Amino acid sequence: MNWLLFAILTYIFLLMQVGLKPLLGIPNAQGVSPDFLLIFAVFIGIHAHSRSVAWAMLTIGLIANLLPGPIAEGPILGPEALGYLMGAFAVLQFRTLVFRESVVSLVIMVVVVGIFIQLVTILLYTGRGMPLFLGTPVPNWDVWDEMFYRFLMLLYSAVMAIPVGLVLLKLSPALISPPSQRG
Amino acid sequence: MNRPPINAKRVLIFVTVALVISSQLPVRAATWISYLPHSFVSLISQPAVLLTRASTTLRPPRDDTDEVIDDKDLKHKYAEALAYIDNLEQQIIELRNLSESLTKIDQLLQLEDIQMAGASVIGFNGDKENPILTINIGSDDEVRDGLAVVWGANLVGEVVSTSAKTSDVKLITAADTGFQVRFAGHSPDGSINALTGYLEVGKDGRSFYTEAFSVDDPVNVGDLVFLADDTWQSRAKGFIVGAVEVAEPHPDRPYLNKLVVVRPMLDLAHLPRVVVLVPRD
Repeated sequence: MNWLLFAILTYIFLLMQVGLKPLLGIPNAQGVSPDFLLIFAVFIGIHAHSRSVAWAMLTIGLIANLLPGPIAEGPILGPEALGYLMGAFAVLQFRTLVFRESVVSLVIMVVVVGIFIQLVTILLYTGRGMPLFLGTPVPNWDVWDEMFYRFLMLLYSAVMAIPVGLVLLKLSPALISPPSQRG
Repeated sequence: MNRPPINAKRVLIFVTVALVISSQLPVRAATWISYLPHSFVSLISQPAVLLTRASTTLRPPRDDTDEVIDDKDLKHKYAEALAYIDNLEQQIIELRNLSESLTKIDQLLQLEDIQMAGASVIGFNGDKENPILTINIGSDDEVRDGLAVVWGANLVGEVVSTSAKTSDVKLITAADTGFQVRFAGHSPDGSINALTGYLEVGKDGRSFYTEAFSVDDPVNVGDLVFLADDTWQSRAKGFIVGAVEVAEPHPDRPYLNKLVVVRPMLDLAHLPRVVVLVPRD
């Protein structure tokens, strides 16, 4: 994989995720907006060599983790990153079942893998409320509200995966090395 | 073939474990771990701000003021909030009146011949028969032996020894304690009773008892008991010793006497602070 291009694209998708919220948020900037990092992560998951997928998705997960989350004091490193790592394993299992060069595959995988990612993320944030652990509960945290919101976000991301996927497929030869050069 | 001690799989497992631990740490520790230098944040935030501005220009945020006013639920909540504010204002007025009353009481107390010296409890000897609290003021603060120690309206004990910086306070529940008290309660007809009696410390070291009342004396459970002993510091009289916990016919003389048990209203051995009634010179 071309890690330099990966870093540049990750940065661009991070900027899009933060900067396009006022434009794409439904009904407003605070509402549901597409997760561009998720789309990119799933694209990498489908196309990259299996040895690179976990690291690439973990990197994207760590970056997604550093965005403002449900805790006002600051980001809690872990939930999103581990969610993306779980997503890496999920995408490796499912990608043999889909036609990789199709945007429709990307749309479906965004929803399927996104469910795994969001469930792990929600689980880890919810775990902070358990008396077993050291973490304090997340204020105003409601599991069902989060599931509903994140499911809508997945659907929106799936829709946005169509144009983004078309662009990424064009960049794919430069981003993903051919099989003989993969690493 | 030997596998290297550090490989990608092991590093990934280590990172996963570290992230699981990090995700469950207290907020302060977790946010400290995820701290990002300002320069790095600005690398992302400055271009993001430009993009956000462009987005906002293309799609300006809607002015929702009209919707808020028209929304019935929000109107209802607004009315509730107004009522809550009214209630708070009422409470503020009441608290202000209470504060004025307390100021007047404080002024009156300043005119009296004692000052209330607050102290923190720094030790307890744990002795059931001779319980002693150690407090953090002593002769340097004009504390001396025999002064009464109170907390709120409750009598706690008396000072039995002092050093420059600390004093020992013997609790009223010490085994050899006994004092004249006044029982105050209401009769069934509504009149206030005021009987005097002599209390001794019970065998449990936590309550007092008297067997001197006749079965007809109007002493009832819940009556407050006040110190009325002339051997104590005069200003201690009137402080609460406890409340009547048991008032029943005496087991041995059921037709003659009552057994009355009085229990202090505070856990005297575990008070964090007390007040010493120090006479003014």
